[in-house]
Amino acid sequence: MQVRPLNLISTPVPVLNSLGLDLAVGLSSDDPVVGRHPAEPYLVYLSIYSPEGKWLERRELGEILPHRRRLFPLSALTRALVPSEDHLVVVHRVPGWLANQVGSLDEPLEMDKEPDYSMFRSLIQYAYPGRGNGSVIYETPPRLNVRKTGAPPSNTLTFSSKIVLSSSVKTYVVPIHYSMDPGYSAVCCYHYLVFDQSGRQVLARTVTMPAFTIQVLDLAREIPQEAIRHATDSQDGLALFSFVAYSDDAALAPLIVNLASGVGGVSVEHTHPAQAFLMPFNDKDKNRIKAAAIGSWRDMRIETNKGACHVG
Amino acid sequence: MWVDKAAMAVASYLPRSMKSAARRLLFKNRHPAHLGLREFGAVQDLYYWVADGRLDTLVPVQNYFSVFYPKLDTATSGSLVVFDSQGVPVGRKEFAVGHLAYAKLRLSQVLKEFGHGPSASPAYGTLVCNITVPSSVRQAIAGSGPFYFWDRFYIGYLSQAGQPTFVHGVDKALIYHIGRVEPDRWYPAAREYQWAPEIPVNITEYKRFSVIMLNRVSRPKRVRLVVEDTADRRLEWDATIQPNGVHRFELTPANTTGLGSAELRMRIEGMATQWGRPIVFKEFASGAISVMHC
Repeated sequence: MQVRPLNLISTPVPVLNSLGLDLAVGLSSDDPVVGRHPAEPYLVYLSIYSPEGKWLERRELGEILPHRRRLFPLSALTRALVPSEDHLVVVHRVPGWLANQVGSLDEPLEMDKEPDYSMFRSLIQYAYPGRGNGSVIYETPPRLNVRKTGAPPSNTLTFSSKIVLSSSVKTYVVPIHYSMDPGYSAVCCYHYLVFDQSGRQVLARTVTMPAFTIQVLDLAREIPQEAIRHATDSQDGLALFSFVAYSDDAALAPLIVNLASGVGGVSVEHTHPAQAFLMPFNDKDKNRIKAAAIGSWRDMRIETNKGACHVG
Repeated sequence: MWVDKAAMAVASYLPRSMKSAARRLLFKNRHPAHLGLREFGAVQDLYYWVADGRLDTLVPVQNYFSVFYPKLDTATSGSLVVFDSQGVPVGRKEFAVGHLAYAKLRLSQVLKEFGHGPSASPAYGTLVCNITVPSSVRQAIAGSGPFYFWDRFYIGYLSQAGQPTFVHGVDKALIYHIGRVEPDRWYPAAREYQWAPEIPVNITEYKRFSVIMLNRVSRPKRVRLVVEDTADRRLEWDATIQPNGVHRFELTPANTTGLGSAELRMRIEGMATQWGRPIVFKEFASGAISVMHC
């Protein structure tokens, strides 16, 4: 089978310039699970994409020696290419033994089976410089948005209860449209809905996302002010909402970012795909139930004539 | 039931290379994830809570059944069980959650309902929250064989300034079956695992950096936190955590004197369950907070 060295251990990362956050990535040369791989050196690379999803360049960030952690600040580097807009970068780790076997990191390597580097995740840290930071840890799911000829595209169903708004707190949803196929060029529609505590729908929107791009959805701006006022708890001043999103066209991995700029507070979390909440007897039921749920949400959106989006 | 537990225990001790074949044999015609999943229900994790006047805990319970079945009426009820840091039950609260809705539970208020004032102990502990599979969903999955949901919900923590930070559950602790109040434990026994968190810790950035470990098994478990610097100097701390209990290893610049301050690395030894990895709770001089699972 063919293995792309840059895809073996990688993480797509939103650069959130518009939110005033500095970005750093923390990486380890130890197996987090301990015992599957000996500590070994890794080379670290960064692929940088434009806000429109065009590949700009790849930089070598350095080496991580065995049994070490390293924090790589990225903002100075990325802002030299994209000063103020939001965009995507991808962090790659290549084991030293593998880097020594390839002439070019872009060339696939023929291997009997893909080495198991599951759970080798990157720590993504956003910070208000000199105040607070928030971090999250994740990796690229296997074969993300690698389309097989004739097969339907991947899809997405996600939900979250982390939508918090107040006079000092804003919440942003950041879907990431990435693929492990460097030739991937699909455009997808991302449909999202927001509900208040009683289950009343207060927002339904759609955004279109080219490949290798991110979106920053500012829910404090998008949710109607009247709905925010209505949802605000007079005791603690917090308005809480739930979020549901789907796409028929691609697998998207959203981050949810809660910011309290007054104290320099950052909270960031990833969301699990909906199928990760299902434990059926027959594993195939996961995708069946997820697809049916997406179909139901699609029907309900059409019934209410919300935000059309069609992609080829 | 004891046969299931024995089989699970045997399976858990098999070498990784034999597990797949052994599981196929042991789990023939049974739920592939766990022999105890015989009916319908949900699997829940144990979560850390704190309500000490400085920090509070928010449990925003989204009715996730509505997401999978938006056209059904998925209104249901739930329960929140609170334990202190030693795993002793503090109280149980029942609540309702409507279709597409969520319930907002704030620990300081819940503790008041249990009769604990703001300055009374306990100030931190663990909790488990479960919402019941709605009858409409139960009917929808009736022909699917044993079917369980794994509720990987997010828990929030609030600073005094009202800043929230969230983290999701990282493991499985309890199996709730439809029609039964008392859950079963997911793990039949404690094991010995390690975890090497990826996070490089620059300790001077934090006022307090807490490494939080929970015990999801039915016996006390001893765990060790090892912190090493770039010169391979190390410090270590031990703790015994009671079943359903929690321990906070608190790191500060003061108690890590002797180590370098940047790119510290951590290792947990003696984890009782393979995925029961720590969460880290960061507190900054600015008053900001942030939480993350490892």
